[in-house]
Amino acid sequence: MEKNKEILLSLTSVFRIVFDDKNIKLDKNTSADDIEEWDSLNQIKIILACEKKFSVRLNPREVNGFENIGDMVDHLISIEAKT
Amino acid sequence: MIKEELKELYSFLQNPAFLDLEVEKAMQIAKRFVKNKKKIKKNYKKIRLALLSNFNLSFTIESLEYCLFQRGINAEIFIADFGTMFTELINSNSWIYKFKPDYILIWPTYRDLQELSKGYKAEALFWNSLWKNAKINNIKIFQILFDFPPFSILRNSLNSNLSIMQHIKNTNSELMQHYSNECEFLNIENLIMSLGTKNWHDFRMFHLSKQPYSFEGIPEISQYLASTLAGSLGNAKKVLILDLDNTLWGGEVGDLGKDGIVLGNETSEGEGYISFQSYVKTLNQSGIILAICSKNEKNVVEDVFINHPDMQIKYDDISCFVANFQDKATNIKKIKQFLNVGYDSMVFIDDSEVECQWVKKQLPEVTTIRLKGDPSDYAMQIDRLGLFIKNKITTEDLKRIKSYKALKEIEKVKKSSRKLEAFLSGLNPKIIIEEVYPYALERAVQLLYKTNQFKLNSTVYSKEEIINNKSNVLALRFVDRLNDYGIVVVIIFDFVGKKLKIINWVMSCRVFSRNIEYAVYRILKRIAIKSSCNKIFLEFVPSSKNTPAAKAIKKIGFKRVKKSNIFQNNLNCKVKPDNIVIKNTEMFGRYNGKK
Repeated sequence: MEKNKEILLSLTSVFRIVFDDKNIKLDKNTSADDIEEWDSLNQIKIILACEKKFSVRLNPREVNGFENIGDMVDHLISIEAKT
Repeated sequence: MIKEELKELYSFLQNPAFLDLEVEKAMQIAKRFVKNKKKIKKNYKKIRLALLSNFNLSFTIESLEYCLFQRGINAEIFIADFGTMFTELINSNSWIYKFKPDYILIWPTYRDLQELSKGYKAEALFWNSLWKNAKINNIKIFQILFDFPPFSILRNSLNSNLSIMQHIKNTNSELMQHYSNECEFLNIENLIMSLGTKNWHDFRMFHLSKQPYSFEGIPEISQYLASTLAGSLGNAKKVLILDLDNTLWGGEVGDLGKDGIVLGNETSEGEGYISFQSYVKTLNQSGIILAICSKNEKNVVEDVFINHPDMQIKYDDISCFVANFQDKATNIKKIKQFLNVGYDSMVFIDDSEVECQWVKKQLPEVTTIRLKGDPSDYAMQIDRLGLFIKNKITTEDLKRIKSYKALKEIEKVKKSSRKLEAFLSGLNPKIIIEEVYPYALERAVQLLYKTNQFKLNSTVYSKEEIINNKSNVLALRFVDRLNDYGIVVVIIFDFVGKKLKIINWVMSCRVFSRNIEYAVYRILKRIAIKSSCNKIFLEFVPSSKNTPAAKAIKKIGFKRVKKSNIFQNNLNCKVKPDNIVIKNTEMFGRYNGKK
């Protein structure tokens, strides 16, 4: 699905800026276990950056419940559908 | 890969406007900086700084460290665990004292007030009691004054004694008045004003991460705090180097004359320059040394300072006055040597992108600010960077200014000419030869009538005369990578026998030092050859102002004919390469035969 790919690419650029790491590659299975510096502080930065990038409001409690990037992508698609 | 990232980091470090970056980029660069700090070899002041607050400072530290570094301070920063501000200060064995800081910065907010019921004196005493251990250990203390809560209803509290607003105002006042010998207080009112309630009180952010201000506010807050601390640590900038044309007044005085520059209450632009000059004057009055670095004839610009009724800055306010046609980096070097300060305490301001890029390249330690837009905005463009913030102005500062009565002209200096030439050709300069099209008529006439410094004689053509002699009038437009300078040269010519006669040649002083006279020689030579002429001649009538023209024509091979004002060129002068691309428009094809 094209939408999936698009969102994944945007997320990747967000992560690359937050972690200042050009080599980060995301797929739907990536989780906090895969990126060393992904702690609660960076989680907040990611949430805020995503809100800006995708022009949405995210509920941090919900986001903290995601298992992996795939959940995040699905969530972003579903919010978009509603707007 | 890594080299590119370091290169990007270095280029960001040279830009004093961290607060203008998109917050995500700012955070990324700050993060990169902290990671690579050890690789950057700079002999900066090293300090150990402990930050104490009851809110979460962790997002802000890297940016603060970055901004401090930009101001010449290599800070190792320690923050206590969230919510432990009081215990860390009171407990003499706490982590912050183990860290052995040189400085402690206490950052309370209105949420941390303790003695609302007992009043401001009790409040001040409470905070005073927190400094005891620091004083015993000889640690210098900074404390940020209290901010106000955002809700308007609290401002209108009927019982003014219990009003939180009153309490805060009085506490801040009491602290400053009676405790300044024990602690240096930092006033952040200007910061809060600039950020506004929206960014200073971000409740969502507070509940999300315990940071009371917005994420977006981090760069500006970091830069402000770093500037304030830098000022207190002796790193405030000391010297402001000013360009003149389009910086302190509108227009080029070399072209317009003292009475033609825009400075005065007749126009909004003129008012803008007056107001900017007043700001600069205020800086001077608080101890900042002023220097002038202008590409102009010295007596022309001195005349403005001395005789223009609307100048706010006086000639005597300038400690070092440099006006010549050398490149600005060389001149700034001389200013530095004369004033005997470090490059890192100098700030250079200019409206020209070319000048700023050159100085940034040659003197990276000088803080260069390119002024943009309206003169009404100039003061803020400088002030918001906090380069000159100092908590105290000493009599020493004021004395220092008077001691530099400098008005020695900077001697002719050996230019680093190869570097300069390379830089100028790197700007991809182009000349476009145009006929005087209707839109350019106004500008051409203005150049002919108003230019003083580069003009061969007083012969001018009116609008009608130009229109009637269109094919004998050239207008040259100058463009480079950074700017379109518009029409800067007008040449009126004719053919007399086998000779090409230059009736007049004017050039805007805006583009002196860009080697355009060499390109003009190439153009004239081509016209001459295409019309089978073997000589070019002109009449040069010296005036009090047109020495630059005299110098230029001699550089391109014109020699005086006996004892007259006629100068002749035999077309065999070897001129230095100007690296300017000349674009011929179709009209050039006309010059295939004599008129």
